[in-house]
Amino acid sequence: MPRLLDESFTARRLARRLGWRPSTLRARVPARPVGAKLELTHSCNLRCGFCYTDSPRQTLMRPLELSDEQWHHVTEQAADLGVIEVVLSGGEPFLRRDLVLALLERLAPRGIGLTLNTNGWFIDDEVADRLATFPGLGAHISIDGATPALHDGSRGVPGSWRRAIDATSRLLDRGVKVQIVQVITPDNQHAFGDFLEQMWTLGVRSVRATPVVQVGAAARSGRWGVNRDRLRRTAREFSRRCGEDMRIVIQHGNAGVLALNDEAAPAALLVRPSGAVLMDSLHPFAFGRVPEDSLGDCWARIVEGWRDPRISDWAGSLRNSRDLPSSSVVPYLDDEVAMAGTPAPGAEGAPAGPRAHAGAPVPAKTAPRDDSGDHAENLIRARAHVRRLALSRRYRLGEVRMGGGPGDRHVRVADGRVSRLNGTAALLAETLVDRSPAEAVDQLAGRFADVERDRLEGDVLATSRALSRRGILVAAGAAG
Amino acid sequence: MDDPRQSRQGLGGYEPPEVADLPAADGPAVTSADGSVGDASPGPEWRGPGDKAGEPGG
Repeated sequence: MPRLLDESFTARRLARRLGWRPSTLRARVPARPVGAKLELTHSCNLRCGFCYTDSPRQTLMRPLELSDEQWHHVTEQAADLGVIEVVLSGGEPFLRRDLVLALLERLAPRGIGLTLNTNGWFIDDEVADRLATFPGLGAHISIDGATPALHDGSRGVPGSWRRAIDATSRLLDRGVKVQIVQVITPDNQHAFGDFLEQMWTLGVRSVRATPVVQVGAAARSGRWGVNRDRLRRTAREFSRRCGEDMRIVIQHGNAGVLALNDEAAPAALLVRPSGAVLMDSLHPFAFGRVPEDSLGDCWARIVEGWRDPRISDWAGSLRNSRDLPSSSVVPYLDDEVAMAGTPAPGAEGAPAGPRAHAGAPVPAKTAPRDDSGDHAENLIRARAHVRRLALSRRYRLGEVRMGGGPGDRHVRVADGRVSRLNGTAALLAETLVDRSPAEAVDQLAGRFADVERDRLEGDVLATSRALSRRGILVAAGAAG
Repeated sequence: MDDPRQSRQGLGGYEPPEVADLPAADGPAVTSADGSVGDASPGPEWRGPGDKAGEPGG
């Protein structure tokens, strides 16, 4: 799609008037939902000023949430409706730890794609071990910078960077698919390159940078604009130097609003902690409420009413994402509008008026502890921590067959891909089997006495990353 | 910013490690059934919950 059409509201509207419609957009809602996003709680242990679900406020308000039993019932209905993908989200879903694990347990055997959005705070070894047993699970972990000062400053709770980094490492140790989500703000955009480097070192394969979308807490105040061209340049430069094996996505700042204006028919539904059933995170219109209404009934109402004039008028009033905070209904900051079915609590009778929650109390942020005031100094300490984690990850040999040698080896992975390893890479591959990179460096240090240890560590880390991405090495803690 | 892969310059007696993907047809082993190599990018075309294109982050 041409970039103009990708980013310009006016161009897209004009294109639609001329009858042009991107082939990827649906005009018809499927008879049954394809996916479901379940916001298990809006409570959170962090205090992000940009939180799109306005969780700091929700944490203080403690509104009524569906019980564990009700969530199980909702999940069962979603599975019976044939969804192929479920996202468990929050707030912080691990504030309902047992529920999250039980739902994953229930859904995984049914072959449903599972994604978990979390800040990582509660992912200890025990939880990581459990998560590693769910095939195909993807964990999306939020990390906002390369140093505790940047991340903890953004998230409002000291220690949250360390928790998120350690959780990521634990999951990678166990072969769990991880995507890191960085919320890009004016405060952390300057260190995007440092962040990419750090994620690369840690062994992350996918980073999504997302500018703030001004809904929820972010609609209250703040200037959230960032220089996306600069971010793109930084990402390109990083990929040029370090290769393409870490996927970097820089999300459109106005992607959400574009999605609204595209009028793409919904294929998935969203269930909020109250039981309100909506089309997605950005359309603040409820089509019923579980458990009073069945999920199937709510979907039938979405099929019928997704182009209701009230929705079209609301979406049409948004020329760009900056219009969101002043729109007639701000997602998550205002109560959702009941379109049909049983209204959600708080929306019964007279829903709280526009911006009624704007002045509600939110917990104050606590300043980061690990902040020397000097980014370079903070970065050195943070890098050392990340490098230690990456050096301690153990590997085993994947399902491969090796040929050739001595010197260059050819490796065929079970899925048919073939790689060529030069002599050093082949030696490192053999040395890394049933060892960590740190142990491999110890093993090789004598043989390559002329090579500085720091350089050898870097090369071993890079090679372990290259080999594990191709399935030649597998994290030793991975299932199977 | 340092290159996390470290320098690629050769050192005496030390050849920097290289891992390269080969087109299946050039590989020494039996090629995959469909002859494809590299990463697939499935890219869901539906606005599903796991497709974050339209989702706020955080």
